[in-house]
Amino acid sequence: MNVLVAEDDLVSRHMLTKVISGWGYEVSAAADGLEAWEMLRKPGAPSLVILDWSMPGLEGIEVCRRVRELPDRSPYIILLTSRDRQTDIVEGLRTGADDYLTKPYDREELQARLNVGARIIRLQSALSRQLFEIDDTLHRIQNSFLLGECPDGLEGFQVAAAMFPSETVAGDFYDFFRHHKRCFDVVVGDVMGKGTKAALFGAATTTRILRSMNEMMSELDSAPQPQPEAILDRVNRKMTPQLAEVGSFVTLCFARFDLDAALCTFVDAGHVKTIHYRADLERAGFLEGQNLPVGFSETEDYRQQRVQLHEGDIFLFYSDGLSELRDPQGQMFGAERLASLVEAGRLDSVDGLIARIRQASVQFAGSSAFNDDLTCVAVKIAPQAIHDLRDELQVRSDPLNLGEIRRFVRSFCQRLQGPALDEREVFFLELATHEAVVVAMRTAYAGDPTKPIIIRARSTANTIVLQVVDEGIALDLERLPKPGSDCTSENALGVYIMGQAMDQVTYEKDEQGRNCMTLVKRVG
Amino acid sequence: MTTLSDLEIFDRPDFLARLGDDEELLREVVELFLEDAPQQLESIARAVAAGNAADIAPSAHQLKGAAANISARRAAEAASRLETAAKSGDSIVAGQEFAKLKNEMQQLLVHLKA
Repeated sequence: MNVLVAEDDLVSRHMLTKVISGWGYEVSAAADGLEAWEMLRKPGAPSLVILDWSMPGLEGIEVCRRVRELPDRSPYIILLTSRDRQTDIVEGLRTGADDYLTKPYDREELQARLNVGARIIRLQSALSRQLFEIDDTLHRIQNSFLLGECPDGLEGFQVAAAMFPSETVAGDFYDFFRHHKRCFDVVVGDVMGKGTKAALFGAATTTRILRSMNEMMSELDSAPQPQPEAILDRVNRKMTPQLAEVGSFVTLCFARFDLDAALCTFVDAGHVKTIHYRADLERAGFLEGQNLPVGFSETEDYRQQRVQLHEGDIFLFYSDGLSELRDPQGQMFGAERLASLVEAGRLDSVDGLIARIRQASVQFAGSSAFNDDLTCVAVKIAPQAIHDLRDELQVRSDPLNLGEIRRFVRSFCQRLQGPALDEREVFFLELATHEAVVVAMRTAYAGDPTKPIIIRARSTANTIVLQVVDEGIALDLERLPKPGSDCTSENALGVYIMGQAMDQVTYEKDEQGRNCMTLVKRVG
Repeated sequence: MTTLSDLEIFDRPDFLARLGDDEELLREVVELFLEDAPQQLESIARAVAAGNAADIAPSAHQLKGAAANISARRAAEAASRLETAAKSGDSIVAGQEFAKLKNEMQQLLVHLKA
């Protein structure tokens, strides 16, 4: 270990140097305060200092004060003072000396105090090594667990993500879950707080989402994917007690992109509002929900919202590090500015858009050393990405659900590409589906409102196909009396309406033995 | 009050102990003191001659420390008295104390050279 002896008296400097090197320390010497300061301010300066109080030029106490203002440097300082100036000791310690010795020094006392200093220096460096390791681990966690990889093998999407990290890990995270090539989920979130806790909870959140999805898929027995709102309900129930224990919470936006249904289904859990550039309106707006962040309340009921996808649409997810970035005058970057950037970059590639945002934020802040993580994820719907739509609705056989079923059909029709259907055509599709569902409720399930009914919709270039699936008693279409006869069967009327409204109506068992009414309408 | 003659000119055992019983180092340090001390005394003499009490005190303080450092008790005490006198601003007393210090230093140097 290196010791600096700063003492103006030649004899005593020589003595101290000799005696201390005799104890196995490496000793350098300074003959006055200024020389001592010049040596101490340099990198790699001695970590133990014996500093005489009264020296010409710079007094020991002034050297002490200056050293304590140096960043990342904290040598152990023993102040040497005359026996008759003991009142100065308090001042010396207040100024930043760690210990003091009165002159003429006692040999054993000097050795003992030097050893205390050496022990503290060793502890300090062990501690800072450990801190460095923790910091290093945090950055590794951030890179490997907090930042997901953009999913490979998607069709019809362009996806890019970036995080411009702050010096301390801030707990931003994003991840992707691919369902199939035309459907994936994205989650972008921010854990309240910084450092270890934030990083670990960020990693825990993405893991928890994945685990919940996995559990739900096995519970559902390979039925349709669990819905985003149901996933978040489960994630929130599991994580709230853990988050409450450390007084933290997580804001996030979870969004599912499904090109087959031309839908983005999202849940906003207290996160910053997502930017949605609508290619059909050539304008950017915001997606915002009403839900609380994860960790606020175990009983929070997460609600998903759906927005239609158009070719050329852009979604920008980000964290408050970006929207709340401040310029040197204290002004906030803001979501509006971000929305304008997305509008301006609507023709960029997603990587180009992110580069544009980074450039704008560095320019705005006047620096690239950010106080908070800047995270953004951009999703763009590619040209010709939307065709042959598919969508599905599952409801109970309760007549109260008929309204929802009609809205499902209408919403599906609105999402079709190409020339829009006219109101009359949409009305007939709604009506025919309504009738098919009524037949299932009334006949197949004999009015029991608790049974499952599935409505499937799909489109090709020139047809729209609607299917109503039930697990009840099969209907005998052949034996239904024709309308116009004296029979007043409600089923017969329903089937007649379906026949009139649609180009083709078939009724058969599907692969799983369920009743399946298929309605086909030619369009275009 | 302690008289100077009650004190030892040079407490060799004490000094040697502080040097870890290193006789060679003792000789080295004493030699350095023999070179350095006369210069320190000279700078006090200049301040006394100029009659400036304020300038005497720091040099006296320095010599006091240097003498105490090698366990030269009488010289250290004499330098301490001069420092006190200089601080009180009494240049006559300071002059007297300087004369005593000079005398003690001469004895010390003779003793150390022996």
